[in-house]
Amino acid sequence: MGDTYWRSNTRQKETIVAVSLLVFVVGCATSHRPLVWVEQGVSLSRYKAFEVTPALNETGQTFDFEVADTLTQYIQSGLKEKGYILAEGSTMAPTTLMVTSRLITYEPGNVAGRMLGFGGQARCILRSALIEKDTGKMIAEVVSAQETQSGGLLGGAVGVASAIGAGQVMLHNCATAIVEEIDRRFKGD
Amino acid sequence: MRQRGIVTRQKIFVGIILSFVVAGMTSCVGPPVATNMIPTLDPTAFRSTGKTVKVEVSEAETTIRGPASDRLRVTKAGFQEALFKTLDKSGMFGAIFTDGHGDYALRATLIAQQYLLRPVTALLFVHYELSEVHTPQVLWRENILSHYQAREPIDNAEGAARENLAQLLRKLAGVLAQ
Repeated sequence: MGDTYWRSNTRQKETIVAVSLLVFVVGCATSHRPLVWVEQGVSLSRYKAFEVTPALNETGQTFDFEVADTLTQYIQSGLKEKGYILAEGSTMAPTTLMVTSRLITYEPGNVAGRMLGFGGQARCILRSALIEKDTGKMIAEVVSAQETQSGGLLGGAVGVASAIGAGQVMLHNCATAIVEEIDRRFKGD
Repeated sequence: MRQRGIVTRQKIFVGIILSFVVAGMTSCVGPPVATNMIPTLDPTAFRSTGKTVKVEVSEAETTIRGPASDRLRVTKAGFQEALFKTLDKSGMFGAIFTDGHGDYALRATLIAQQYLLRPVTALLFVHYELSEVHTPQVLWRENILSHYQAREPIDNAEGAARENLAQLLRKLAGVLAQ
C-alpha cells in the first residue's frame, strides 16, 4: 500500500517536472489560426502567382531593424517555400494576387527574459489583404495575431542560432501563420 | 487533536473563499453588454442624410479564438443592438430599421473574435457593406479590425466592439458626405 502510494506520488512529481521543463524549454508560444475574410463565391485556387508588395509598419514605433522589409521577406520566402510563383512588379496577369500587409502591433519582448522563463512576452498583429492585381479588388483578408508567453529557451535559442534574429521570432511566426492560411485556402481546406 | 480541528476549519474557510473568487471570475462574466459597446460621440460631428437605413448583422463564427470563454463573445444580437443605437445616436439617418426596407442597407458580418493574453486584448474583425437599396449599388465595403486592452476581460470585448463601431461611423460619414 505504502509502496503503491510512493510510486504514484513519484510519477506525479515526474509529470510535473516534465511539464515544467517542457514549458521552460519550448515555451508557451500559442499559435492562433488567423482570422479570415474571403469574398463570397471566390476560390483562391484560380490564381496562379503572387506579388508581395512592401509591407507597411503601422505600429507607430521604430525598431532596431527594418521591420517592414523583414516582414516582406518572410512572406515572400514563405510563399516560395510552399512552391508558389512570385510575380515581378510589371506583370499584369489577371491571375496574379497582390499580398499587401500592414503590421498593426509588434512587441518583440525581452528575449533573455523569455529564455529564462521570467516573462519577456512578445506579440504581433499582422493584417494582409489579397488583392486582384488587374481589378484592384480585394478578395480576401487575413489577420494573424500571435503571442509568446514566458519560457521558450528552445525558441529563443533557435532564433539566435538561425537566420531569424531572436527578437524577430514573433514577427516570423506572424508571417508564417499568414502564409500557412493562404496555402490552406489555396488547397481548399 | 484540537489543533487539527482548527486547521481543518481554516482549510474549509479558505476553500469557500476560493470557490467564491473562482465563481466570480467565471460564471458571473459576460456576455458583453450592448450599451457598453456604444462609442462616445458628438452628434454634431455627423451630418444627417435624412435617409433611412436597414441594419442587418450576421456572424461567420460562433466561437471565440484564443484562451477565453465563449461567454466573452460579442453576440450577433448584442452587436446588432449596439450598431442600431450607435447609428441612432449619430443622427446620420432619418430612421433605422432592423426589418423592412430603408433607403440604404448596412450589413455587418462578425468575421471572427480572438483573445490574446498578457496584457489581455480582445480583437474583433467585422465586414461591413453599405448599399443603396433602389439601385442596388454597393457604396462601400470594408473589413474593420479593432483591438482593445483592459484589465477586465469583459471590458476588452465591449471595448473592441466600441472601437469597431467608432471606426465604422468615421468611414460612413466620409462615404455619405460624397
